[in-house]
Amino acid sequence: MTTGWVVTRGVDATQPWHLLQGLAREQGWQGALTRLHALAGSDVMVVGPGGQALVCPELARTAVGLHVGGTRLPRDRARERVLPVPVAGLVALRVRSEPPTAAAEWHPWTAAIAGLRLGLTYRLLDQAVAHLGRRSSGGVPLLHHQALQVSIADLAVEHLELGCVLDTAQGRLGATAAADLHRRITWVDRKLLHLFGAYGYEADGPAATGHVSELLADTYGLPRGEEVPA
Amino acid sequence: MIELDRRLRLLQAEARDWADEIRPYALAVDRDPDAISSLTRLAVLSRLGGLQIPAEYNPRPLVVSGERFYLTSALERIVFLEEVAVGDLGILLASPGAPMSGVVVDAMGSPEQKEWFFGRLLDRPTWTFFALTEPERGSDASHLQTRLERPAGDGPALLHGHKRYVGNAARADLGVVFARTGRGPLGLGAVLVERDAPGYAAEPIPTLGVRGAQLAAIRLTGVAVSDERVLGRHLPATRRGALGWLRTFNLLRPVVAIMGVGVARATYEYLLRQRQASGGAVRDRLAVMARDIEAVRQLTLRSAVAVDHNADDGHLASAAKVSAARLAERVTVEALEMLGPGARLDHPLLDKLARDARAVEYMEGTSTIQRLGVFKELIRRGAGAEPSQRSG
Repeated sequence: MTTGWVVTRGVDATQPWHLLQGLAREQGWQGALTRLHALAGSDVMVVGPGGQALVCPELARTAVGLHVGGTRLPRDRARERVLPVPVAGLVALRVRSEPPTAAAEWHPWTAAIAGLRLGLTYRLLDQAVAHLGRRSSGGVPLLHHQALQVSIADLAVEHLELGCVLDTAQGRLGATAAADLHRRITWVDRKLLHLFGAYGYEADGPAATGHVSELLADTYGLPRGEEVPA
Repeated sequence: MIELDRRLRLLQAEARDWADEIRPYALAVDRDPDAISSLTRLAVLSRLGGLQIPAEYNPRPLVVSGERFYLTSALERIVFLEEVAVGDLGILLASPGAPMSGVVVDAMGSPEQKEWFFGRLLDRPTWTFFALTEPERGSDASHLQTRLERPAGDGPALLHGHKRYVGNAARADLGVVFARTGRGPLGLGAVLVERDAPGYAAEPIPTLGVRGAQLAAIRLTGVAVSDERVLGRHLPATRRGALGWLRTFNLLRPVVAIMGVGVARATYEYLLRQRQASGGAVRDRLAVMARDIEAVRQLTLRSAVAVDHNADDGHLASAAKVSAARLAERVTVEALEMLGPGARLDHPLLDKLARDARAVEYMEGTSTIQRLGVFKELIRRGAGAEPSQRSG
């Protein structure tokens, strides 16, 4: 019997999407979001194609510039508007009213946002298993229930698939692929949040992670029909 | 297919008027749940609390074109509440009245208790709470830890424990608390508690959606409960314990399901109002969405007819609740996708609907619990058995 050879191509750990994925899993959305903006330069807010930005309060106070696609622009606070969001510690801003930025300029950020969200969904799985590990039903630890084990395994399989999609893209994610990835992350997150029971609906708990993740996809997603060069 | 008769269509039309009144305030109450206190002039807040009360205790039903409505049957409730939920689920859940605790009081209360409880609701708009869920144990009635204990001597029984995710608990004047009174399924009971009772404390829990409902955590530290506040004392033990009140939840489940349908419909109607949603592909997606919503609505109507016919027949209500929770999430997420990037921040009402939609999953038992109910009924009716041995 002849076996073939495989070549495992290493992932460049310095790629923004990979960096943010790890950070999001370890530190949560605050740390990863701060780093996302820092990747564009100091005191700069990364602005989505629709002219919106999601930032932590510190950056909202101190930022002097905007990173719009590949271009750095000065910040004009007089034209800004704060948009209400139900998550403590997150600031949403409308900073520009110009038409959406051309998709090609969005190339590096598309994968970065997907990586960040993937890290957050991994984090939700970690937290869900820890949460369920502390609970029991009828005297039996919840994690001993086969139906729950199967549900969690399904979500882990979905995570592995999503990770492979991003690995394969090597940081070059087209708009259609990104939209599909975001849709799948949203649904796996929602299934994960169901595992927490009503705790998964508290604004200060894992629901905040899921909601910020969805807001990131929405704010930094590419307009429909826009394709970046593969 | 279930179609509403003239009488129910009148009720539906009235509810639409009420819904139109609350819609403009949906975002304000979402941002600040206390804003509800400034809206008490609206019909949902001033009149709904005086409905959902049994006819023998309610001299002031809703009268529309000569027809009288008490909103005590599951069918009347869902026809009415669907429209109000389309107006705004957050405000509906924040409204005074006893949509849940009233059902338990009606099922288990003595005539004196009903007179007292419903009298309070009719006196003025009054919020109530329904305290079943506990930290760490959810809504699993068989594992309640809150306990009603009778101390040595002549004093009243004392209530100790913690409840969580109880709607309106911080603003309610009174409500029902479920507690363990002894061992086993018969050792469970429900009592009436007033907010100003020493030992009662409620703290709001910020939630992602339905923020108007202001879910809260309740701490009960030796709350004195006199005998006349213990529900079902006049009933046989089999009816006052969990076996007795669990069947009343079947009446509530279609209501939760229709709330999910209402959120989905509100989302669909919002999309129709958007100019962006005009292309051919979008029209096709909207058509599919409309069909999905109507299907779950029909299932919910069927479930209401079933529980009105037999309060023990709750499997359709469980199925409807599972379907409605899925529908509300699916439709709201799809709507945001259809409007493209930036929709969540540019369309705050749609963002709110997407957050509210997720609440349906957690109200009145999660989908896991409901699925188990559906499965048990499937087996009871003989699924997998020879055709001659099936009962339905």
